Amino acid sequence: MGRYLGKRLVQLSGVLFLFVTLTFLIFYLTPGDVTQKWVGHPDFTVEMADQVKASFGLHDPWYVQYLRYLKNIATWQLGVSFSYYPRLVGDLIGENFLRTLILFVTGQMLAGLVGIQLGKRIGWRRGTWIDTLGTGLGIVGSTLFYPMVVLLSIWVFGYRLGWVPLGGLITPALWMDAPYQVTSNRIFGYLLMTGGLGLAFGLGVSQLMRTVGEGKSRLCWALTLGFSGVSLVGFGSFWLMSGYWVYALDLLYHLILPVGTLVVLSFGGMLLLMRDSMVQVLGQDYIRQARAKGLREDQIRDRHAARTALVPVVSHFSLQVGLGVAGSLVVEMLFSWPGLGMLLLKATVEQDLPLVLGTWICVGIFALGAHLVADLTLSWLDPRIRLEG
Amino acid sequence: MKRGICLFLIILCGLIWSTAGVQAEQVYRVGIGEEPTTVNFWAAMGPAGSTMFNFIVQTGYYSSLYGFVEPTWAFIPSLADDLPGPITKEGDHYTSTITLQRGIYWSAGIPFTADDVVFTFETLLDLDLRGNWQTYHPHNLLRVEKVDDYTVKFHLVEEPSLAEWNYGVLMSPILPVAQWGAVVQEAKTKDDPADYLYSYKVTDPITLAGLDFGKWEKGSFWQNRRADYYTPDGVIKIYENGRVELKSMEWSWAGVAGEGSPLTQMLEVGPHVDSVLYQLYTNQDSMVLALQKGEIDFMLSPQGLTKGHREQLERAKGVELVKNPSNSWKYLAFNRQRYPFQIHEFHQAVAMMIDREFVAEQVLHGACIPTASVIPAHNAFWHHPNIPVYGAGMSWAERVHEVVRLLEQAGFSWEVKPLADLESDTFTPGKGLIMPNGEKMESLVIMTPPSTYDPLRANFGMYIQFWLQDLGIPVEAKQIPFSVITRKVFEEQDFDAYILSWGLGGTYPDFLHQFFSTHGGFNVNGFSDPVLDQIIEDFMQAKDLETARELAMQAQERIAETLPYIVLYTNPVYDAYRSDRVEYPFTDSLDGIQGLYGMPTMVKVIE
Repeated sequence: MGRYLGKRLVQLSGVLFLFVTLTFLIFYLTPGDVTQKWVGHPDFTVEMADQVKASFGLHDPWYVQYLRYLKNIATWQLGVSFSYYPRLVGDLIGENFLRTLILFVTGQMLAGLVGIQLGKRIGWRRGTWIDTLGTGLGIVGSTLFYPMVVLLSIWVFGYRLGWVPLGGLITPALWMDAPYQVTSNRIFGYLLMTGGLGLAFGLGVSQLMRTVGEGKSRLCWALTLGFSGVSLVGFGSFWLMSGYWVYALDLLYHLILPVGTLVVLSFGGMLLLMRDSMVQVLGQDYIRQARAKGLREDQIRDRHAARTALVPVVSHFSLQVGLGVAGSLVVEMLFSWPGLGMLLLKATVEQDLPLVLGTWICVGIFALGAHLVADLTLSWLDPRIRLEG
Repeated sequence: MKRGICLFLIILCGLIWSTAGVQAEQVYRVGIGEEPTTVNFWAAMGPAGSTMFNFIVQTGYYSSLYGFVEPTWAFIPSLADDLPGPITKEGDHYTSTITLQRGIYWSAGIPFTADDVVFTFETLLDLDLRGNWQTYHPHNLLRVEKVDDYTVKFHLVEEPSLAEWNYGVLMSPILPVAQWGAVVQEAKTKDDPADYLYSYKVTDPITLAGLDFGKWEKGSFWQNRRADYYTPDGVIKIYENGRVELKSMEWSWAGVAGEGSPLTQMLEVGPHVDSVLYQLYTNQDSMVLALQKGEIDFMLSPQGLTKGHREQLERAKGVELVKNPSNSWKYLAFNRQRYPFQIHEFHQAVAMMIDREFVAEQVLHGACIPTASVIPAHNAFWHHPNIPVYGAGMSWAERVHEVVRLLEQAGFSWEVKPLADLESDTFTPGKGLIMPNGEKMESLVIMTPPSTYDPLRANFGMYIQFWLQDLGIPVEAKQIPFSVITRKVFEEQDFDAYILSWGLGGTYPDFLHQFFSTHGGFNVNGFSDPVLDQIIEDFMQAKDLETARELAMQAQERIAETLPYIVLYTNPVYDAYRSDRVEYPFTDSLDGIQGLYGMPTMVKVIE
C-alpha cells in the first residue's frame, strides 16, 4: 500500500504541475489584463495603467512571470483581492474553503451513504416492487431542480415550520457575545478534529470486533483505538469546560437544512449507480459460490457483492466531491452560506483576477486530493487495483 | 446501533433547541447583501476599499466638523462649535478659523482636540489619499494649523466655493491621532505610504460618534455596540422655516433661519439601541423571508425590492413598507441645436401636454413618482416648493387650448389646427404642424431605452408621442439600446430628443452648473440662457448658505420657466421594516431609510 501511495503521489504531483501551468497559460493568453477592470474610468490614465501593470510584473518576460507565479503558489502568496480590498487572497480562500468543505463533504458523504445503502438493497432485490419504487425514487432524486428544492426547503422548514434557520452559518445573536477568539472557522476546525477522531475510534472498534488481521494489523488498530479514544475524552472535556459546545451545536443546527437538502439532491445519482453496479455483480461466479457455501443473503450482499459494486460508485463520488467545491454556488447563495462558490462568483463578476486565479488553484488542488483519497479507497476495496497500479 | 443513532439525534435536537439565541439587550438587526471588507476606515474610504457596505457599517464611528441634519439636509455644526468663520485674506492666501466643541471624548477616554483635526488633514495632504478622501483635500487646501487645543485655522490658496468648502473639506471625517499617528509616521517611511495605511490591520478602532466596533464574524455578521463612553443627551429641533436648534448638556446652537416658525420635528440624539447587528444574506429571497419571520428588523437592499417581494411583504404581519423618492430623476430633452427646438414656446407646449400624474398613477400604477422639479422635494433645504408646472390642474382641453395659443404666438401654424372645446372638455387632434419659417415640421424621434431595460421610460416615451401627435407634431418614440442613446447624445450629439436619467449624488445641488450652464460639462443639448448662467455662476461662487439657497431658488424658477429639461418622474425607493419591533423618528426621506443607512443612531427598539 505504501508503494502504491507513493506512486500515486508522484503521478498527482505531475498532474498538479500541469494544471497549474495550464491555468497560467489560460490567463496569460487571454486578451486583456488586470487593468481591464478600470478601462473607461475617466480618472484612470495611461500612466496609471502602466504603473498597475508594472506592479503586477506584466512587463517582465513570460518565463519570469511563470516562475514568479509558481513561487507565489508554492509559498501561498496569492496577492491582495481587488473586490475585498485590503484582504489577502490566501486569507479569503482559507476562510471560505473550510466552510464549503464542511458543507459539501458532509452533504456528499451522507448522500453517498444513503444512496449506497438504498442502492445495494434495491439492486439485490432486482425485479421486485422494492426495486421499482427505489429506482423511481432515484430517478426523481437525480432530476430535481436545484433552486426549486432549495427554496422550497427553506420556505417549508425554515419559514413555515420554523424548525431550522433560514440560512447562514450561525445565529448572530448567540455569537455576538462570544469571546473574541471564538470564530466559526475555529469551531469548524475543532468539530472536524473531533469528527475525525470519532471516525478513527469507530473504525478501530469495528475492525477489532471483526477480528480481522493478525499481529501488526491488530496492533495498529488497537493503537488507533487507544489514541483516538483518549483524544476523544480529551476533546469532550475541552468542549464542556470551554463552553464552546454551545457554538458548535449552533453551527450544526445551521448545517441541518443545507446538508439535508444536499442529501436529497445528490442521493438519487448514487442510488442508481449503486443499484446498476449491484445488478452487474449479481451474476458473478463468486456470488453463486458464496450462496453454495451457505452464507446468509445479507452477508453475501454486504461483504461480497457490495464491496465490488462500490468501485465505480467511489470513482463517481470522488469526482462529485472534488468539483462540488466550485460548483456549489447555487446552494451557497440560496442558503447564505459564504463559501468558495460565492467567492468565485463575486471575483468573476468584479474582475478580481488575483482572487479568481487563487480560487481556481485551490479548487484544482482539492480535486486532485479527492482523487487521491478515492484511489486509496478503491485500492482498499479492490486489491487488484493496488497490485496492478 | 440504529437505536443509538436515534437517541443521539434526539439529544442533539434538544441541545440545539436550547441554544437558540436569547437577547437580553436591545439589538437592531439589519439584513445586508454584501459583506464589509475592512475595519480600517482609511481603507473603507480609499480608492479600492470604498464599498457601500464598508461605509454603512462604520458610519456611526466618526464625525466631521460639520454635517447634515436629516430629513431636511440642513448644514449644521457637528464637532465644530458654530458655523464656519468667514474666509479672510491673509497675506497671499486665505484662511478660516473654526472653534471646536469641548467635552467630546474618543472611546479610549482621550479628549477630542485640534490635534486630531490637524492630524487628519495632514494625513490626507501628505499621503495624498484618493478615492472618497479626495473630496476633503482639494488642491485649494494648503494646510491646517492648530491655534490652540480647540481652535484650528485652515489655509487655502483661493477663496473656496461652498461645494469645495462647506460640502467638501468641512465634512471630512476626523480620525484620532492617538490611534493612527504612529501608523501614519511608519507609513511615511514606506515606498507606498497610502497602501501601507490602507492595509494596516486594526482590531479595535477608537471611535467618537456613539457606536463602537463590536465584532466581525466573517461570512455572517458585523456588530456595532453603543459606546460605553457615550451618553446620548442631545436634542435636535427642526422648524418649518428650516431653522435648526441643537442642544446637549454642555452645548447648544441654533441657526440656518430666524425664530418664530412652528416646530415640525424633534429628534433625540442616539444611539438608542445597545447593538446594531448587520446580518449577511447572500440572496434577497432569504432576506425577505428573514424579515417576515422576524429574524431581522430592516432590509438594507440598495438594488431595491422587486414587485413580487413588495407584494409578499405587504401581506406580512408586522411589516411596514415605505415609499420615498430617490435622489435622481428621469427627463426629456431636445437638441436645441436643431430647428425649431430653440423656440421657447415649443418646450412650453410640450411640457403643457405631458400629464405625469396620469402616466405614473393610471398607466404605471404608482411604479414611479411624478415630479417636475430638478431638486427633489425631499431635499427640503434646497427645494423650491412653488415652482410653476405647466399644465398643472388643467383639463385636457384646457391644455390643448393653451398650447395652441402659445404655438400660434410663436409663429407656428397647422394644416389642421387642433381644436379644444372647453365646455365639453373635448378636442380634435391637429395635423401637420408648420414651423415659423413656413416649413412643415419633419418627423422627430424621441429616443428611449428599450422596455426590457426600463419599461417606465419606454411607457413615458410612448405617451408623450401620443400627446404630441395630437398636436400635429410628427413624432415617434423609438426604443433604442441604451449604449446607442448615450453615444448619440454625449459623443455625437446627433439626436432630436431623448429620455434619460441623472443620479444627483449628494444633496448640495452643484449639478445645476453641470447640466444647465452654457458651458456645463453635461450640457449636451445646447441649452443656453445668459440669465440662468449668471444665477448659477453666482450660486457656485456663493460663500454663505443663505445666499446660496436664495440663488438655488432663483435657478429653479428660471429652469422651470426655460425648460432645458422637462423632468418627468423619479423612481421610488421602497423600504421594508418590522414596525412591531422598531420605530424611526421619521420615514419620509430622500432615498428613503436606505439613504440614511437604516438610521442606526436614530432607531428605537420598541418590542
